[in-house]
Amino acid sequence: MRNIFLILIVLCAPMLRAQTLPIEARVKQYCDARNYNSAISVLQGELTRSGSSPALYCNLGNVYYMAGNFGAATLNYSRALRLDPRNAQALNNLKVVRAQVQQLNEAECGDRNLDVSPASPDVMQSIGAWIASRGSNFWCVLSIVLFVLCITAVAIYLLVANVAVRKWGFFGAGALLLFSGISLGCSAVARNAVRSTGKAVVMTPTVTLKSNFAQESKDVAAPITGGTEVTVTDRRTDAAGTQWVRVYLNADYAGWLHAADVEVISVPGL
Amino acid sequence: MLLLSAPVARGAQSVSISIQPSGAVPGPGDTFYLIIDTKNVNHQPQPVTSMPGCKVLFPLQQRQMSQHTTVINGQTTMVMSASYAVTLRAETPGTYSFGPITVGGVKSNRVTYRIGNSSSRQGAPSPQPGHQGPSLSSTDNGNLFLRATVSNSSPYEQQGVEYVVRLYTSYTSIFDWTAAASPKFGNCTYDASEAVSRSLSLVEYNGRAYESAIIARYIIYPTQPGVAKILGNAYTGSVAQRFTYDDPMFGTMSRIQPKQVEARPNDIELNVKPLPPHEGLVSGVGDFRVTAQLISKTFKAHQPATVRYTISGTGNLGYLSLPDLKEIYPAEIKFIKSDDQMKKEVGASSVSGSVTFDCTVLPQRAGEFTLPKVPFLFFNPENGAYYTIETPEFHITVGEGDKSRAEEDILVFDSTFKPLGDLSRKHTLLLSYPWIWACYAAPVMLLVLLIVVYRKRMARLADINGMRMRRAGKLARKRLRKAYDAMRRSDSSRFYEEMLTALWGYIGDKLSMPTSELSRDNVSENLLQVGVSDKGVADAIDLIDTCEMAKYGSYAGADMMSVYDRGCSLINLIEKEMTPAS
Repeated sequence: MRNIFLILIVLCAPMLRAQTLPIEARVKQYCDARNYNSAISVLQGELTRSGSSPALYCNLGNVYYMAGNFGAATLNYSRALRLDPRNAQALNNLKVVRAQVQQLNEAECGDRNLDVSPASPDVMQSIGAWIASRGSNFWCVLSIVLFVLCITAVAIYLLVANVAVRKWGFFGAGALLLFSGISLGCSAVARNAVRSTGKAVVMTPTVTLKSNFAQESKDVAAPITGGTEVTVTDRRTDAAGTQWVRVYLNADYAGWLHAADVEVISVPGL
Repeated sequence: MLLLSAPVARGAQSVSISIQPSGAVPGPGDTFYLIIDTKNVNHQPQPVTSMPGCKVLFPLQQRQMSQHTTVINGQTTMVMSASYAVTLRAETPGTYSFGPITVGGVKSNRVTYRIGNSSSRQGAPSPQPGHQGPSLSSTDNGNLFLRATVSNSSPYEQQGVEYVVRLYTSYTSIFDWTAAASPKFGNCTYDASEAVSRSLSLVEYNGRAYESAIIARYIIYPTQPGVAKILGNAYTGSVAQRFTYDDPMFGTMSRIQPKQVEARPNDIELNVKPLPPHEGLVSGVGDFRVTAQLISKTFKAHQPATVRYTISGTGNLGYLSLPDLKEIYPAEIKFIKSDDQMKKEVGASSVSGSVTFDCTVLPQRAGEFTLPKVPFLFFNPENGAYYTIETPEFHITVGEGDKSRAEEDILVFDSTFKPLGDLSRKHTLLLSYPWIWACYAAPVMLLVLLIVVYRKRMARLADINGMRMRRAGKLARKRLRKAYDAMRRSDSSRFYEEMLTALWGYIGDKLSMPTSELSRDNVSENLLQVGVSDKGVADAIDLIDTCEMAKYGSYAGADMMSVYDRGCSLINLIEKEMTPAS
C-alpha cells in the first residue's frame, strides 16, 4: 500500500509541478516547443478569467509574433502600450513588428512607386503623441504636485513678511498654477488618446484597399499586409449589409476595407 | 536603236491609298497598315505622322517599286509604280477617314476605316496544356516559329540553367516583336539576361535555312527537387511577307506585305536533382569566394560593431546565406543581425556578382576576444562536389563602453515572457476617479485653515492685556516653583518674597491692574466683579496678609508648606471661578 502511494506521488509530481509553474513559464515552454496555439490559449484563458495587464498583452504579442501573426501581435503590443505607455518591451517589439510589416508592404508594391510608410504627423499630432506617450496618470500626478507647490507658494506670499520672498511666492504661484493647468490638460489629452477608437490594425494577412465601399469598386494602390496600422476615418454599410471602414495610411493608401479585415485598437475595461 | 530613239510617253499620274488587311476591322492593340500606291509619280510620299484613332508605329516604309515599259506601234509607254506602307496600331474604336494626301502634286483618294471594340488577338487560340511543340497562329505555319532550349535539363536544385528562346523565320523582316505575357518558370526563380540578338542571322534548322535571332534569355534556378515545368510565353509582332509573281516584261517579281503574327515557344520540363546529402548548412550553389573584413576599427562593450563577409562568384546569388554566427561566435560577442546587399551581373549563361553581409555584433564586456574562422559550405554543380571556404579569424580588443547606450540603435525582438502582474478587468485612469478633485481641493482648504489660524494668532498676539491674563497662571506657577525651591532650602525670607511676587503678580495680570492700583480693597472688589467667590477673595487677602506678616514681621506661626499649598489652591480656585468673559 505504501509503495503504491509512493508510485502515485512520483507519477503525479510532474503534473503538480506543471500546474504550479507560473503562467509565463508555461507559455515559454509552449513557445520553445513551437506550440503557439497552446500558448495563446493559456494567455487568452487568463485574460478571460482574471482580466488584463500590460505584461499579459505584451506576452500575447510575443506569442503572436513568433507564430507569424503580425496583425494580432501589433494589436496586443498597442493594447499593452495603452495600459502602460512606457512599457519598454512593448515599445521595442512594436518597432520590430512595424519594421517587418513595412518591408512586407514594400514587397507587395513590387516595382510600383508607392510610399508604404505612415503619413508624417503634423506638429499638433506630434505633440499629442508625445503627451500620450507619457501616460495620463503621469500628467495627472504632475498636475497635483504642481498645484500643491502652487498653494505652498500662495501661503508663502500671504504669511511671510520678507518682501523678496513674498515676490517669489506670488510669481511662483502664478507659474505653478499655469503649469498645473497645462498638466491637467495633458492628462485629459492622454486619456482621450488611450480611449480613442480612431486607430486600427489590419488583421487579414493581405488585403487590398477599395476606392469605394463596394466590392466591385476599383483597387487602390498595392495590397497591404496584416499588422499595418491605419487611421479609421469613416464607417459605412453597403446595400448588402456589409460593414466597411475608410482607412488612411498615407496619400497613396487611402481607401475602404471590410470592417472584418481590421480591428480597432482598444482595451476592454479601460 | 529604233526603240531607244522612239519617243517615250509617260502614263497618267495617280496616287491611291488603301487600308490593309482590306475589309478587316482591327480592334484596340491590333496592327494594320495604310498602303500608298503611286503611279508615274517621281516623288516619295511624306511620312505620315498621325492618323485618327490609331498610333503610327512606322511612318513610311517602301514596299516595292517597279517600272513597266510598253511599245505599241512604235509608241513607247513607261509606267513607274511604287508602293509604301504606314504601320499603324489601332487605339480608339470608331469610324474614321483619312486623306486625301498629295504626292508630287497628285492628290489621292480618301479612305474610310473602322476600329472595332474587340481585339482580334482575344480570339486567338490559347496554348493547350501539355503543349510541347512550337506554334504559330498565322495561316502559313512554318514560316515563323519559336524554339526554347535549356543548357541543362537535369540540373541540381539551385543550379543556374540557361533558358533561351530563339526565333526562326523565313519572312523578309520582323518588327515590333514583343512578349505578350510573362514567362512561367514553375518552381524556379530567374534572372533575365540582356544578351539577346539585335539582328537576324542565317541558320539551318531541320535541313532548312531560316533567319534566326535569340529573342529572350534567362538564367533560371530550380528551387526544389522534382519536375520543374517551364511554360513558353506568347510573343506578338509583325512580319513582312514577300509575294512573288511573274511579270510579262521582267519575269519573276516580288512584293512585300506586312502581317501580324503570334507565336509561343515549346514548353520544357526539367528533372531537378536534389543536392547530395551533406552535414551542415549549405551557403550556396555555384563557384564562390569569401572575404571577411572588420568594418569597425574599435570595439567597445555594449556598442554595436560591424563585421563584413563578402561572397563573390558565379551561381545563385539570391540564395546565398550565412552560417549560424550565433553558434560560431563566442558568447561575449553577441551576434545581433545581418544586412545583405547584392550586386549582380546577369551574363549570357550565368549570373556573377557578390553579396555583402554586414553583420552587427554587440560585445558584452571588455577584454581580448577572437572572432573564429567562419566556414562557408558551397556545392559546385560543375563537378558535383562540396567545398568549404573558411574566413580568417580576427583577434579583437574590446574596450569599456557605456552600458546605458547598449543596443539603443538596434531593433532586436525581445522574446522574454514577463510575469503577468496585477490582472484587472477594469483599468481606471487617475483622472477618471472623482476623488482626484479632492487632491486639488484639500490644499486649498488647508491654506484657508492656515490663514484663519494665523490671523487669530496674530490678533491674540496684538492683545497685550489678554496675553497678560492668559499668561498669569503660567507666570504664577513659575514663581511658586521658585518659592518651593526656597522652601526646600529653608530660606523663609526668599520663600515669602517669591510667594508675594507670585500672588500680587498673578492678581495684577489676571485683573489687568497696574501695580500702583494693587491694594487689598481694589483687589477684593475686582475679584468679586470677575466672579470669584467671597471665600476665594477672603482666602486671597488672608494669604497675602500671612505672607507679608511672615516676611516683614517675625510671624513664626506660618508653616511654609501650608502657605505654599494654599497659594497653589488659590490660583487654581481663581482660574476656575473667573468667568471667561472677564
